[in-house]
Amino acid sequence: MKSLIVEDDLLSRMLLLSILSRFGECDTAENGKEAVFFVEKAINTGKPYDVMFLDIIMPVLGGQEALLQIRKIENHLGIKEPHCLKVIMVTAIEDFDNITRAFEGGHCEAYLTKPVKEAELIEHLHELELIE
Amino acid sequence: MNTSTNLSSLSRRSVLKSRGKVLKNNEIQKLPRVSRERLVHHFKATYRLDDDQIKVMIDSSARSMNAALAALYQALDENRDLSEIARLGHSIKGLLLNMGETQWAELARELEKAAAQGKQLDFRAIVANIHQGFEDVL
Repeated sequence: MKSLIVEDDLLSRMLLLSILSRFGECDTAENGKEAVFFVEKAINTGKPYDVMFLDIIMPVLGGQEALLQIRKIENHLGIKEPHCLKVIMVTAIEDFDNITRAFEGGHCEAYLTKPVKEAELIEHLHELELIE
Repeated sequence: MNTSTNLSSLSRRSVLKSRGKVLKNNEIQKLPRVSRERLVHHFKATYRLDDDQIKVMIDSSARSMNAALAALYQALDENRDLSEIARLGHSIKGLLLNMGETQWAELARELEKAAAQGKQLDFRAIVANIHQGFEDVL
């Protein structure tokens, strides 16, 4: 499984990295703009990410906006389900408006709330059939 | 905005005195100071981490907290828009939750909520309170 963590906070990145690196290659980005760049580059080099963990509120470019750009890139390149990047939004509790927006747009598969819980994260990976 | 200011390289007490208002006892609820041992316990209990990884998480916590506090102080110094204060409050709230500090996260949530609603609280006092609470691990 190849994953991308998009988080502006160092601790959040390191916690997710400590879990996800057990399951394969894992890269990190610090904002939505970097995420769009990494995702596009990975597609173009023929090694796309399987899953992206995306924070919603970030400087430079937020998670919602980054996700819209990534879906546009996939659409432009003719990438369709089930080959689209799977996205798990990561946000602090009580951020239901942002979570709802992400789901209503059909742009994400799941969400995690902080504090990130290892068991919950792994359960999502199972549900998305990213790990056995 | 430069969020990489390393407060640990400065005298933390001087930073508090010069940038944060000293709180009166009745202004904000006193919460227990955070210790390294408390953070170690949280990371051990919550994640399957070895000792080296726990050291990384403790170091990352300190660096994240320093960056978050510096960003908040800078935003307040520069009288930034309340929406920016709310965003930074949201950010530090998430950090505190990942550190297992739910009571401190609740205080950050109050800061975020008040700023998002355009309420004029003494934001500097709240930030200084959080700063004081984490002095031992910064």
